[in-house]
Amino acid sequence: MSSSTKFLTLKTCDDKKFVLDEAIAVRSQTIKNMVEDDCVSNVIPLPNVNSKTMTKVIEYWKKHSEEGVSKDVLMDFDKAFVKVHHSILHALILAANFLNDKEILDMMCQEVADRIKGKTPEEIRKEFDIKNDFTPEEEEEIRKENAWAFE
Amino acid sequence: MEEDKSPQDITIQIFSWLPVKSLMCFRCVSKFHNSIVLEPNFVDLHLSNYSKINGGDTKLIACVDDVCYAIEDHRDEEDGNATKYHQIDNFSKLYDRIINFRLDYNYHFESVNGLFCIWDLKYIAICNPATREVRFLPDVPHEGEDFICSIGFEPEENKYKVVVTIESRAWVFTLGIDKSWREMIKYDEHGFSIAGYISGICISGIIYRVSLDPDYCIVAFDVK
Repeated sequence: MSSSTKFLTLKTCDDKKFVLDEAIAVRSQTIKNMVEDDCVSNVIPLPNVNSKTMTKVIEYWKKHSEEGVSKDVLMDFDKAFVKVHHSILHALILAANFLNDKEILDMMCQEVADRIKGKTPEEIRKEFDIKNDFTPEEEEEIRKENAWAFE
Repeated sequence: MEEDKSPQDITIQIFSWLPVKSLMCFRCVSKFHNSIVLEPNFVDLHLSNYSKINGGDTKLIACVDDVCYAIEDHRDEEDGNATKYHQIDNFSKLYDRIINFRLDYNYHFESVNGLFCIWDLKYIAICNPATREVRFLPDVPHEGEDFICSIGFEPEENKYKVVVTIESRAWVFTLGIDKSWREMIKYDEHGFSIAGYISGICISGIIYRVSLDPDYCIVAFDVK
């Protein structure tokens, strides 16, 4: 590694600091934009991300920045990475969204989709706390139109 | 800095990784969820996410008399049953039209991104097994000659196109836009004869097919 390695300090919402190689931190498009616009003084605040979530994100970034890691190893790493409790999954989606890291965002959204794909509309409403704003007649109409999808 | 996305945007992102069956089912979660699924922008996002990694759910179509089955391939199903199929109900309408025409019919099909073009000696239908929709295209602009269809996706216009060929001539039809077939520019002095038993492939808006004449060559149809 070259001697000109630059380090950035990231500060999460619970006041924990993470010192990270700039080359790794710019996997976040949000941080990259800040670096390019020269608005990085010494500490980058991440008001929407807590330290627990940031630790996971950095674990992912470091693994995917390592040199000489085979595709299979990365695939196994990713598979294990998404096997987390849904509260952590949710926090990771919000963090990836804020950090603007499409790779993590896509992977996490895909995992949520895999977990919910077989559920009923009622289960979806309950899980995501969604209010049903259809009249019973309107709902029945959509169910009838797509009866096969409810088999 | 980019605007922070709303929870609704995240829902859209998650939905773009769902199979079509789940999408159709989740339409009745709420009005918002119903509206996402029907948005053209969402369809594009779904195509570049779920459909891209799965290549559409349906891999193959099998027709037995008036019944058409869409055959799906699911690799990591828990029950170990990797191949599933379902019947496309609306297909029997296609059968009715065919049977009225000739008895010695034969089906052929080509597909791209999970969208199938099915044809016999007279009729051409477009079938989306994921949503179980079947639509007919206008009659081909010539009578009595065997023809071959090819279906392709043109990424710049973001449109699906069907090319129908008989010897030396070709017509194109853009789904969702054209009302009738448009003849494509003549190639050169060569005639060609597309091999119907070898499927074509569409790469970046160009459909490639094997022609038996002259001398097993590849014919490229630029549908842009």
